[in-house]
Amino acid sequence: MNIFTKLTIRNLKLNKKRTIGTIIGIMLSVALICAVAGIATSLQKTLVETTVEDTGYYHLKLSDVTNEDVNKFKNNRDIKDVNVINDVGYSILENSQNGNKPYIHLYSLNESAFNNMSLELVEGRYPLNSNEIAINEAMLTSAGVNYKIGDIITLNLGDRYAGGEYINSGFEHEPYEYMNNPDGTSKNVGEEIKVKFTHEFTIVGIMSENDGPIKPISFMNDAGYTCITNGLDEGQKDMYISLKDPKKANTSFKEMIGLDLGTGDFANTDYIYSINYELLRWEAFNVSDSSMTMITAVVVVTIIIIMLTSIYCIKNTFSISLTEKIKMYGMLSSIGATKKQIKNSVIKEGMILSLIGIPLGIIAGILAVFILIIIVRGILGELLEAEIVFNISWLAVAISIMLGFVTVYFSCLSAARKAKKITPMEAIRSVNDIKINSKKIKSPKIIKKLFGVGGVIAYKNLKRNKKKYRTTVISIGVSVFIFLAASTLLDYSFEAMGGYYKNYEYNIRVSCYSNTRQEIADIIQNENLKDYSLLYEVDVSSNKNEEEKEENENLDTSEEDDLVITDTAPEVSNRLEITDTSNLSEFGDKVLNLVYEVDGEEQTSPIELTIIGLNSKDFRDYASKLGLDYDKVKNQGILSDYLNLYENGKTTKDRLYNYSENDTISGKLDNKDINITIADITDAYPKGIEDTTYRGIVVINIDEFSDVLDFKPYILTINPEEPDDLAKHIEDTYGDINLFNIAKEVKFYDSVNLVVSIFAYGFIAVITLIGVTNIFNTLTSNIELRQKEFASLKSIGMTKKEFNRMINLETIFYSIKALIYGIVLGLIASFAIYKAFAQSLDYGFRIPLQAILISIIFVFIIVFIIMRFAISKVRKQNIIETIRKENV
Amino acid sequence: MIDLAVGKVFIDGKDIYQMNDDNLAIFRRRQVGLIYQFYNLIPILNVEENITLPCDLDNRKVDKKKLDILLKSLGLETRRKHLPNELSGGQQQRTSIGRAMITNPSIILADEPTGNLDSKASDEIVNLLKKSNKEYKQTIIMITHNIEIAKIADRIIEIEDGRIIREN
Repeated sequence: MNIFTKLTIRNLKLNKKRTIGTIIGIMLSVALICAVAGIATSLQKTLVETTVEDTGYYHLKLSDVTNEDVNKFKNNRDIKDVNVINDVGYSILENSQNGNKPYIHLYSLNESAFNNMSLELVEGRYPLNSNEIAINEAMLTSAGVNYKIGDIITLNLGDRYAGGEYINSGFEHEPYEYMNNPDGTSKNVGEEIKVKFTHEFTIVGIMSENDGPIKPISFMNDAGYTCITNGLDEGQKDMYISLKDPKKANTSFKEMIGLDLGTGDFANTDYIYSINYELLRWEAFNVSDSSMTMITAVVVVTIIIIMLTSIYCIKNTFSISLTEKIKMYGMLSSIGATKKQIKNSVIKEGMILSLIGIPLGIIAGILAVFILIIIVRGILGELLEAEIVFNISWLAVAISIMLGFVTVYFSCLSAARKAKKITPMEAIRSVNDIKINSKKIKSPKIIKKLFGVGGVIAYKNLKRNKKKYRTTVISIGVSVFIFLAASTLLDYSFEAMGGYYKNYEYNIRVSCYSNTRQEIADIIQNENLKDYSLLYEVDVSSNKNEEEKEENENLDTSEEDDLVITDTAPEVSNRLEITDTSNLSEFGDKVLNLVYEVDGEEQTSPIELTIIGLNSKDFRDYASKLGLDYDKVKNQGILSDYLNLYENGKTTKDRLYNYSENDTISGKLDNKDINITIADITDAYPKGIEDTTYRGIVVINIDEFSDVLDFKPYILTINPEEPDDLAKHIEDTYGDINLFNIAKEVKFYDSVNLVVSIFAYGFIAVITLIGVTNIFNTLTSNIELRQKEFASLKSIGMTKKEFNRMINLETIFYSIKALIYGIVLGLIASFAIYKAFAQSLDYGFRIPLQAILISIIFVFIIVFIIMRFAISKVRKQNIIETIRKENV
Repeated sequence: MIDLAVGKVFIDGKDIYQMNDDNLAIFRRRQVGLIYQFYNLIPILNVEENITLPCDLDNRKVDKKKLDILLKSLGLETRRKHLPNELSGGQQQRTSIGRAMITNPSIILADEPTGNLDSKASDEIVNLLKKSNKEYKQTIIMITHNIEIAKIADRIIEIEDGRIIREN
């Protein structure tokens, strides 16, 4: 073995603690790099899996292809799977009770399509040939037909025609009863199926109707229920192609179909194509996409931060190691070692430590990602629909290893350069060459007064060893700074995101689409609610003519908002119109009093207040919350007319009207004159409309105003003990409502909060640990190098107590220095973050006292532990032997 | 190792101060043996390893037989695997002489080789040096304060306050 290797290894064995400390430092930084890479690849795989759940696994869809096309692509070596889906046709679904879906829409899939498309079975199995069929669960529920597995059904398959025109099933539409004439009038066309062939199928499976249709095959408003069979080659054929190497999508597409995404030359292909951008975006980073760039940027920046911090910390260790070996290197140089040999010896030390540290780091990193993913799954698992994937690619590991070596190499570079410059003479002759300027280590008198001699020596030591302690101070300072900045950032982010939901006094909010709001009344009646409150709004439907009322009530609103609306008279507003514009404030005038042109005529928009009603009980609650006497105000109104206007980057909040307490609001509603006396003016909305924007509301007691106005339910808020159970029950039982589960939302945000905090603080903790290993090495070596000095002090009579005091004071001095730097910089960062968020959220600047306290405690604990440990080593020394010893 | 103020130094026909650092280092390990007052052994290498150090730097194998003979003549065979801190002062100095001689250099430079030793050890060292001078025809340049030791030399140069005052 090379002599230098031998020397290096023996030296490392001799200084076991420092060697271990350095290895731990290397291990931590490699672990961090590997973990970041692992999290990134896991995230990417998770996103891919989520997308595949949604769209099926394919990259390119070619429509209306022939069997020749299919074979040509199947033989292409760049292609992974060719999924063939035939649109066989429609067949009437006997006894369908769903007027919007009277058909079965049959598709045929080939083998690989069954594997790659997003399908889900609730019962049975998938069809293996063209005599078998898997039907749609929705047929049994919303169409009410009675099929089961084993039944044989006969389908008369063909195309849809309306009024003699072929309906391209590529357009989503329920069955046509009326179509538009060119002049805008409508004609009754009715639909029919022109049957092309008949086929018998045995039902072998039932597909889930969850989340709507089966992507990418079927679509939302299809007139037929999606059913699938296997290998029935009828009807239009589409190919869904997946690539072996998605990253080469651009070149592959160009080769296969002449499509050049890069130049945007889309016209250069004869095929009708569609690209699954969503999947490509996550699988192949080259599709330029802002979220991919952001993720990549975050990963790269994080790794750079890790490397820079690690290099800075580990570098110090090598410098210490070098200082202890100056004499040896000098001697080697004198008997003939070349500079290159000495420089390489230092680098060799780094490489040997890497050989142990890097593999350990990789293992630790992979383990960390594994554990993190389990934790995240546990916290977020039920709330997210996607499955969180654990994946670490070999590439990531290889890159981590390489970056680890690079980090260590740069760490020992400066020590190596210094070693090169050691001349034999200076190394042999001088032991500890300290260039001291007596002025520089003058200590202020106060130190001696407060801390005694020990303090003076401690202080002078600090000044003398400024450079040595610099890394310690900076390590601690930076950690504190990052911690403070991160805490503030996390706090503000979470408040901005979802913090305000926590202040709501209820868990569930229900609103309703239908005109009569019958569902809400039903819920209140049937569900035996204990803690709830109901907001009412003014009902003006008694003014509409009876015909229209019936028509509106009978419209089937169970499908999407695809209502056919014919011309009716303009709706009567249910808001209170303020005719006297002198009641507007300046702000209100600017915002509300707008003039616009319609057909050359000038019109002003009506100035209206929304009326919100509460029953007596709820009104009493609301009034008492505002400090009002219910009996005095029960027949009055509470005005809330503040508006947040966001203009030119600034938010202004001001009142729209200039009413005062006890004024009367006069206006017109539904052709009646309405007068409401103002009991109070507030910016606190009643429960249920906290996040809605109104241009002024008046809250009144419906029981007191029932003679002048009609009311109907508007928004129901419930505060149950088991919000999730009740929410699900209401959603399942009542159609046509909009339910907002606040408890679920808050739980979600809390969970996300927790996960992000774990990641952020975990990261900071590890970076701090790397700094700590560096501090450990610096302090212990410092103590060891000064053993002679300590021995001398002891020999001339310094007591144990004074000695300990001296060491402790040194600790305190530079810890305080580091803390001051860290806290000051941290506060500045904190303030900057506050300013950045103040655009949207201004709750005033809060000094992060908690975080500061935590950092102070932590710093002292860590440094004290290390100091204690180092002192205990010094205590054991024999004074005379130490002084006598030449070779420590 | 130290810069010249004035003049030139020739060893074996080569002008030393024209050579660059690396060549000088190689020259040193092959042609010059160094012995110091304070031994300057490497504390983590044993006797044998310390002695073979110059050869190891050159990546040259050491002739085992030669090494054995050297150890015997130094009286260190029983101590060959011991570390410096397990040796007496005299044994340490003998080790460093062994190191100086392992490559059979033409010159040995000795800086106060007996300065740290008692009289018995001093005699041992001096005899060793004399022997190597006679047997291997090596030139030995020695610095000493001890006039008795100086007398053993073939040629004495007296230096006082940095100036040569006498030569014989």
